[in-house]
Amino acid sequence: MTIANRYIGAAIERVEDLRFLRGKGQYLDDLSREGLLHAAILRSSVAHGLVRSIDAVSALALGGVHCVITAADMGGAVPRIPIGLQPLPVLEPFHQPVIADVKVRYVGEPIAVVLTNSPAIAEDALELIRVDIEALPAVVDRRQAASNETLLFEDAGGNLAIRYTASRGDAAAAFEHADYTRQEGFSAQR
Amino acid sequence: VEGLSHDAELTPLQAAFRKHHALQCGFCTPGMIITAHALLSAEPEADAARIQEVLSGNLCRCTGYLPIVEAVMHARAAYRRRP
Repeated sequence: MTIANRYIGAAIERVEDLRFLRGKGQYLDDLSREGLLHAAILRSSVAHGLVRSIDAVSALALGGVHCVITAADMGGAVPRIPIGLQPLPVLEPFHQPVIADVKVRYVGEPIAVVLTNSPAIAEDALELIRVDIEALPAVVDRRQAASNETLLFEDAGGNLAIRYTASRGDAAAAFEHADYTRQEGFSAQR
Repeated sequence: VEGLSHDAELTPLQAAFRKHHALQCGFCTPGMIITAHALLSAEPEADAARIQEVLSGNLCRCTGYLPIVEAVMHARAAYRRRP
């Protein structure tokens, strides 16, 4: 039995193209609802540091600003972001907070969220928030991390989150009988 | 771009974009279409290098640009026929 198909090998026109080609595409930014607020996130410009203070008084005084949310507004422990792929208990001490609390650990980490009447006001409000961060040494490579001279998560007691090996088949025998072997070290940017 | 086609039919340029898959998310498409329309209205003989040069002010993160240039090349014939 054969089943006729209309797709494979055929030039298929996309149904969504018409609105895009006519300038009628709608995106998240086009969303407008009653009472809609816009958020902007103040992010760390420091790779590693202690958050000494966050002063949002001027930002809150700006017209159209509803609130500025920081870790202090979380009411207790700041929630941590779980690891979706292979969640393991050993990784939990290294889970990052949803918003920086006592420390920042990378450039771009969220420090404060402003909610305002418009995106423009949100951007302006960010510039009015004063953050005092005491910079700590940044840990930028594996060897420096392995030395444990600078800890990112003090409670973990070290920078090594997990050590594991993976193999498939009889790798040792394959290397032993190989005509040529070579050993290399590889590094990734993260 | 809303004023480009007043009836149900796509203009040849819009149709070429659809035919050549010169759009995916469509966010950059109005800018691409209007820029290409302005170019072909003035220079219906524009070659690929010229089209790339003129479209270079518009960013597209979906297509890789090649289908857009192909679509504009394809639409040139319709602009040549104009009075």
